[in-house]
Amino acid sequence: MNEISAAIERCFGDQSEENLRDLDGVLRRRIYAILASVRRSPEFVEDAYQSAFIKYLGILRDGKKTGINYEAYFVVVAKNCLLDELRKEGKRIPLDDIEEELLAGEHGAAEVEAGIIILEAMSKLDRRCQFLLESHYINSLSDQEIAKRLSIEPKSVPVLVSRCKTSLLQALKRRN
Amino acid sequence: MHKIRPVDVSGMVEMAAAIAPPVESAFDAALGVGPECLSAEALVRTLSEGITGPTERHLLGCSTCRENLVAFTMATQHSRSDVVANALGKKQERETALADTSILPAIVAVEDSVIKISSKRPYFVCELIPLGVSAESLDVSSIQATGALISNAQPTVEAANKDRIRIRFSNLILGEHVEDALDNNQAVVDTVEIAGRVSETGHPDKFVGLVKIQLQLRANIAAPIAKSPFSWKR
Repeated sequence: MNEISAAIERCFGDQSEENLRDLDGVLRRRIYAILASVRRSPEFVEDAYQSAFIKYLGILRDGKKTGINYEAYFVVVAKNCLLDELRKEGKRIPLDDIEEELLAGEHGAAEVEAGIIILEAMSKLDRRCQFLLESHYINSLSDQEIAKRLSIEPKSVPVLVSRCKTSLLQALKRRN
Repeated sequence: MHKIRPVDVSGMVEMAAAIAPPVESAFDAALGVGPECLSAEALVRTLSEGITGPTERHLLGCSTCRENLVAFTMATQHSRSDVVANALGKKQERETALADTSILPAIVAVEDSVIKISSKRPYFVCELIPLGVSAESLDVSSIQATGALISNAQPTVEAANKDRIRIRFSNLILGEHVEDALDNNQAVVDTVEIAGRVSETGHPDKFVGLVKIQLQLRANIAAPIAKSPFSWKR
């Protein structure tokens, strides 16, 4: 068991301030690294982590449930909080289109869960697809910028994004 | 009659868990464009433990990983709130700065994290990759090594460009506990801190990089087995 899993485990047993500080100690930098890679704006990262930590406390108080990888779940919760922070700034993020598609479709996700479900499904795609979808739907990078990072032609980006979006929607269907 | 031995299910489960391949943590998943990119764990360790040759080669060729490192550094420098007190509904009594904003972080790269020592006054070669400024703005005359290896003179520059600078410290002094460990023929893992001044304005005027290395004596077959090849005591 790594130090993060061990800290989460201790907090399920006892949500004392000491245990929560230990959890914050091992989690914060790593969550920051992930959030900063999704959206390279430091001002959103701290607020997102703050909101996520409040949610972690709620999850810990609810007690441990079997079959959940809490490390992965905490990452998804933090990413979802980052999206909420972006929305608070009045920014409509392109990922909202996929959320609406999901809510309108047959998947029946409750609005509050939609972001979590999408991000969880996204985290199971291959890294290149994750990068494409995060860059396009969350970080709002241009096709030129994405193409430069992937060393491909800019005209290939929309095709790849569409392909990865299809993979994501298939992953979401399989989940249901 | 043949007695059936009871099956120890919990023992089997423990054994299966012990031999099963480890499940990749969400923090070990790559954050860049491909699976070889740095993970959250690797980004954190890059700044606190330095990097070795293969990671450095990837980093220099991957702009996404470099951008991730800079964004991560900026995010940690922004961080001041006490999230635990906030989550527990307590008044924030302390600020928990994750990083000192007056210091510019630098990545320290070494070709191999295992350093074989064969002299009382060893040398140490590393590359410095500052985050957010050009490597040319590092003031070489101010660079010092402390910790496991201590410099007593300025390093010499072996190569430099805008991204990185390769420096060589000669005639280093071993940290006291490193010396004691080597004197007992023991390998020791410790950190070397490389710090100096930044001449470029508009940035912190000091940089610091950390690298975790393992120091061990170079094998000396002429030396008695039970004894160190030479006395390390100053």
